[in-house]
Amino acid sequence: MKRRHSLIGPLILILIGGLFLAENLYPGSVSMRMIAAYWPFVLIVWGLLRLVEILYWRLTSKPVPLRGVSGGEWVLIVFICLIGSGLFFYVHREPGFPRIFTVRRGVELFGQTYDFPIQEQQSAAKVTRIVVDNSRGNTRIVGADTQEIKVGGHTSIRALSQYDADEANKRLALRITTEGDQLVIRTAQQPGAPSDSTVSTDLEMTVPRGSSIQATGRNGDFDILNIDGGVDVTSANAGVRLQDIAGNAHVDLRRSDIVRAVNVKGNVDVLGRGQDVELENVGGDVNINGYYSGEITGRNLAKPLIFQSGTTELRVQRVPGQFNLALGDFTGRDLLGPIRLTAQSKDVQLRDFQGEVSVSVERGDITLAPDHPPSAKIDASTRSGNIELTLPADSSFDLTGTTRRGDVTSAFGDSVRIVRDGPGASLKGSTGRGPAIILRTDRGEVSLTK
Amino acid sequence: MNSSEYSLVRAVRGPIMLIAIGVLFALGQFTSYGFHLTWPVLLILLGVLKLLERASGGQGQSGVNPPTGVTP
Repeated sequence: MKRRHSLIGPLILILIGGLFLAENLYPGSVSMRMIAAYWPFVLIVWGLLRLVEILYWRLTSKPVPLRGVSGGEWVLIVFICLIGSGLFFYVHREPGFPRIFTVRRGVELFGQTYDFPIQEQQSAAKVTRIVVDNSRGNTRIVGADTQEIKVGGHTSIRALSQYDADEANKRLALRITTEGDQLVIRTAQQPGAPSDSTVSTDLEMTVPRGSSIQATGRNGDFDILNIDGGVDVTSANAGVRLQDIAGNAHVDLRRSDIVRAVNVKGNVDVLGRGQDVELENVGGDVNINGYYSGEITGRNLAKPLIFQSGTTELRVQRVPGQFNLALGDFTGRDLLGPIRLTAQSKDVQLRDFQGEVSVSVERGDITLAPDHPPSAKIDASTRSGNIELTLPADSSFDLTGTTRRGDVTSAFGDSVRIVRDGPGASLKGSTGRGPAIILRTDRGEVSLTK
Repeated sequence: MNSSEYSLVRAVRGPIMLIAIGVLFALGQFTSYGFHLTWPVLLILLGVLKLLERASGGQGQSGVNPPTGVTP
């Protein structure tokens, strides 16, 4: 029997021909925008026609085909879907932006940004704890002498049209609920909302300064100022800046570009992964634990600091001055011991320190220069690098310095003996009754200067 | 009659899926329910059509009643 021929092929040809003819005769009558918007109806009409055809064949007792839509036709349909979607995004690209994709925060997004302002106010009497959950967007919380919570800011929605943005905004609700002494502010989304990479909410809040803050998010920065209670920040990706916090600060981030804490009276705990950490004027214990690839700086820390990141460990009793710990070096000025630093590859410079010092690195030069005569043990060792110790002239000590391959020098005259032994050398000597000083390198120079 | 019903259901599967795809894309154009949200409907629809096929006498792909019940 002869193969049945469908109407679809000829009809599609007629449609395409008709569109071109219309455009040729009446230029401008067929716009890309129109095709981009209405192409799915070609699929619908195609399917309907085929359905009618099959039912007709069936009713007229003609044999029904094995498959309603053949393999080749499916390939054509996939192409139509791809070209149609491509056209859609091309037509709706950002005006004046020649590319289809715009890259922002590492995510490919389409469309334009529409802003919706937020303005809420609520009494916060009896509230001692404020919970903020802003999954995407920046949050700024400022404490003030007030009994009210004011939430301002705006929601930015990236959408292809104002209509889409309005619809999306309806499904987003900033919810403020009170649970006992706890006030919860959530920018949660209801199901059916567009994927949240297109939505971000920037919040600016004024809260009673006596409350404590618990903030969570997934992507966005947190700025928290003037809070008398504790502050707890948890996020997958955030920069965190804390200033003038009277309570403890706890920051747990899976990724961050910066964590800065200035004027914190309580303890500071920083956990997770990130780049830079800046601490200034901290009254409590500081504990930094995780992987940090940038610079760690500390200034005026009143209590012990413990930093653990990968193979680097730093413990300092107090930091009246400042320190800077970067990928390749550590510099510290005016630190109080016991100071303990263990690292793989760092050049270490410590000036004006007091108390016990223990530095151990695999690779790197160690420079130690206390401004007072040493009062406690100094132990510096490196596998590969020079060690230079500069002591005040009136220092008393019991020194042992060794290098397995390299030279030693001493500016302390007769009281320190130099012994050269094959490729290596050693220093040994004591003046008065001083603390032990041990300097060791496998490859490098050991020098003792005044 | 069973086998011809089966072949009918099987034949309309393609067109119905095609219409559904078109409708979902059209919804994506004119409402905020984009295709990236609604695509699972296609899986559900395909499952329902398969069930209908079975109910109309087909035994799946390896059935004793092969789909060549009606030969051209």
